[in-house]
Amino acid sequence: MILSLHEKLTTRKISSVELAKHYLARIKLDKTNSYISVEGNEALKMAAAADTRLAAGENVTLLTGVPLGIKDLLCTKDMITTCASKILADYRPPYDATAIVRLKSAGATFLGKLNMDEFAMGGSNESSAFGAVRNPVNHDYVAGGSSGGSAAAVKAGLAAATLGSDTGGSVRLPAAYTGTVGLKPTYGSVSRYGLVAFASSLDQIGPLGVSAEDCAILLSAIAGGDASDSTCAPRPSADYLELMKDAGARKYRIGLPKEYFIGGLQKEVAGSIDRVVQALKKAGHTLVDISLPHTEYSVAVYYIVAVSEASSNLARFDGVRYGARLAGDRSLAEMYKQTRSLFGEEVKRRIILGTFALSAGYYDAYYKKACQVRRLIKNDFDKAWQRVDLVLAPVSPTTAFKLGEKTADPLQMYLNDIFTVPANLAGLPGISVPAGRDAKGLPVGVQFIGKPFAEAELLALAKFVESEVYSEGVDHGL
Amino acid sequence: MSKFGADTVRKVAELARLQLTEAEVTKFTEQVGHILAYVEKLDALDTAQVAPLLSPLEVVPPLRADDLRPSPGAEVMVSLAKEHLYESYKVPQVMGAH
Amino acid sequence: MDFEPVIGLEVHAQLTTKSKLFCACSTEFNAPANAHVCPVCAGHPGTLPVLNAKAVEHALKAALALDCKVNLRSVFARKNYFYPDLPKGYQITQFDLPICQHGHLDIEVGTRSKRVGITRIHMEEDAGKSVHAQGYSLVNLNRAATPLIEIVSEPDIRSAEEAGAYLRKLRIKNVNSFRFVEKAIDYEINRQTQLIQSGGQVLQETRTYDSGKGVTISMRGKEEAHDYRYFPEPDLIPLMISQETLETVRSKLPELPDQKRDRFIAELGIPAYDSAVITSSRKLAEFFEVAVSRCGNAKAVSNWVMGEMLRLLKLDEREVDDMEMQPDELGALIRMIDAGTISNTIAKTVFEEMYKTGQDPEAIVKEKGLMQISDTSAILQAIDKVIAGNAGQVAEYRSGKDKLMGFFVGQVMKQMGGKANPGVVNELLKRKLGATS
Repeated sequence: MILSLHEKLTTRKISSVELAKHYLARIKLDKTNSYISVEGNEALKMAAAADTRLAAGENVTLLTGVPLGIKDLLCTKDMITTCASKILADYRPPYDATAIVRLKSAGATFLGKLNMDEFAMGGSNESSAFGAVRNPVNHDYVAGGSSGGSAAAVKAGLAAATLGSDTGGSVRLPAAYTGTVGLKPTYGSVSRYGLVAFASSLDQIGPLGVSAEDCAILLSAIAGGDASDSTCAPRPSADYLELMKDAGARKYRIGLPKEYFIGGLQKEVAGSIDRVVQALKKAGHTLVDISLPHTEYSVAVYYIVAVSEASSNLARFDGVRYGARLAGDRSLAEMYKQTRSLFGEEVKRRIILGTFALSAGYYDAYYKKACQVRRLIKNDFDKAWQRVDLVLAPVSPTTAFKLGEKTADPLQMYLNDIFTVPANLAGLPGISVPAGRDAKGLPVGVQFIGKPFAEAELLALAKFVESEVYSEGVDHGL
Repeated sequence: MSKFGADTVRKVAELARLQLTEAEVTKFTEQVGHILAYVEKLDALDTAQVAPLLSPLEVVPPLRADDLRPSPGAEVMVSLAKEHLYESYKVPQVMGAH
Repeated sequence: MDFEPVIGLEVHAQLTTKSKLFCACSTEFNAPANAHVCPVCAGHPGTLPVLNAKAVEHALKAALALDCKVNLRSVFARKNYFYPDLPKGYQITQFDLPICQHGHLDIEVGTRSKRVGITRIHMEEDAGKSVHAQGYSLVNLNRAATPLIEIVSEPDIRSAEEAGAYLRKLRIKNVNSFRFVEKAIDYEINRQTQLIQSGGQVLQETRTYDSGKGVTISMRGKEEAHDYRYFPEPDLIPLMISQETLETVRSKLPELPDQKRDRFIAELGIPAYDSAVITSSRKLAEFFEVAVSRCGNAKAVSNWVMGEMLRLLKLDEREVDDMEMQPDELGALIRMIDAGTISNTIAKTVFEEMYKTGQDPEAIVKEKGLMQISDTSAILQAIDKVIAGNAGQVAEYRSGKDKLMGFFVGQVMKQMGGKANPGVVNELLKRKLGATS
């Protein structure tokens, strides 16, 4: 999508402003609730600036004039950033996230801020203070979470491409549910400065698009070391579009972890994996059965580590320096409690769980234990890399479910993350690419997980699936 | 592991400055208890010799030089707060002030 | 029953860096409220801490100066609690693995030397400050994220005096509170002793010292049970210090107190005891060195400092830098004595005036006409008067009681208002009175 838009823009077949207006018009008709806020004026201003750059032929990048949607978890200076929470309903950050700075400098246009689960906590985008996101493929179904809006916007043609974030699968899962491509980069490859923290040792910003190439282009623009983030690896970004071409020419040893294929997989999910396996073999890649023995503990580890870090990260929301504050608090205690009563149920639940796991007397049994098992999970991958270059796995045991279907039992929802959280725990890159549809017509995705900084390989293999196995239709009305 | 009950939920909620209704206390006691029971599967693993993994980052960025950068200014920062006075953040009186 | 007070001290010291510990805001003092605040130190969503290399260097200097074992790998931790001047809802500090452990500080108390163990030193960020009014408080985050180290001593201290010596030797700048600490400790020793003797139990609690009333007050009611839920800070990777860095810092260390003490003894020739006392406080040592450089007479400076100056300071309960008198001035005074411009007796008066008013000695001497008189005719006049008025003693002296010379010198000095040059007086008296036998 981005390359074709770039071609149109640079050959003046369309202007940035026209392109922005095109998407803004589509957003007006949107029934998926993908956007929390649409910044029409700002978008047109940015588009106009892009047109100036394009006209001058100076400083033009692949993203100049390209309209993007940004998950509302990223701070955009002076533009309302809510994190889908009532607590930040009218918060305007005084600064831009580093990823945003880089996209602005590339000349991209921002259409608005995308819907998500509140503070990125959720797997179905049903925990937003601004309403659930509907799957564009079938409005009765969830779009997945927490970057539900980011995925739905791509599928529904409400942005050329988007940024989301992935802590336990929040880019890959909605990508799989909506039939789009979503990449979670290696931990430390994209700066987290300006990404409102959920779980500091797991969060990464990730691109979503209709194609692997779109993800590559976005990644190239935002990746690379950042002096404002001590957890961002001090390495330069790269031209991932080029790198994935090179990577696409090589043959790989690809592992199939047996623990990911134990019963319970929806048959179309298993079927998609099979089709991908066949195509990979045919193309000369080697498929190897491997074991990641501690997979079954991943969800337990994740739901202690992530929520513990989150319980601390969310302590800053007290109404004192920014954000909502209810009038008339007469004591400090009242101030804190009234403000924080604005958190949604899922957020409260995780804060309670996380605070408990860190509390006196329980720290060793829960938080420390979980961190120890986290190392075992990472060790599993380290061992696997001695035999294979990449791992092929499902993204989720099932395709999208109906809105409201899983909200009664939180644990059931959490168990959905079984195939996505391991990559976050080990800090590894993962990509979700569409590989088919199920009997109901709902998209099925497959996942590749790679070694640290193996994004080029992941993108190359995702492209392989797009061209050799299955292609979702692209319709942005252009 | 000891029983995770309503009292624990209330105590934890207080630590986290969350105000819960009785209905919420009941609901969270059940749900969080349920999740903790699931998490107990970690006990099956012997981790005595395993060093906790705190961050998957392997390459260490350099420290920051002691250079100054201009701050946005009190007006910018303080105006983002709902309650402020004399370029300061305003809160209900802190008890035990000395 | 005799009780022995067992005291440990935790000292928070600010590291002198230009910028804050985790962001590039200025640490400048006394700026208008919230002038030096950015999204990072104000705890805005999405912000992250980045560690100040200079702060680490300063912390290492403290570690080396206190002979601690440096942990080449140390870990930052979050201390979680809610307070309006704590923007993130947690303080970034060090918990399980601080930057260094197991050091010591040797202190001098009177003539005694004592070693106080240092348990650990760790780095942490400061919180902001609140100002309180009727019904509300105002929060100023200028100090938030200022770099601090916390120096924790072993409970090796046994008295308020030792505590004072420890704090002074640590060369911390916040001079006013030394005395308050000593008073608070004395008060506490008393309070706890009485409590135990009357059958009570000493509670584990935080108390604060009310300097106006001279008592400590419990803060029990205002403090909740804190569960800080410490865990390693995921936004900062463990701090790795290389041996090279450590050696570089070591080479940049300024002269330490004990080195200075030894140098003063060796190079300036002052007695060991004097040197130990003078170098026990950085301010005192600085004062001493400047005075010596002005007059070149280390022994004299030492005598004045150890004698008159410390006596007056103790009486007034003040510290060296509370004084108006500058070290230059003491040096000038000593030069005047050495040059014979004033007598020793007069010098004492001048010194007291210098101490009281901060005026320089030349001005005082001029104003009060205190110049030493060496004019023989003036002295002879006085001698004549004394001889005339003390015939009896003259006779006794002449018949062998040469100890009476002191009496005559004293009388002549009295006649001359203390301003006569004693050496000249002595000589002239001897001549006038004649040999004893």
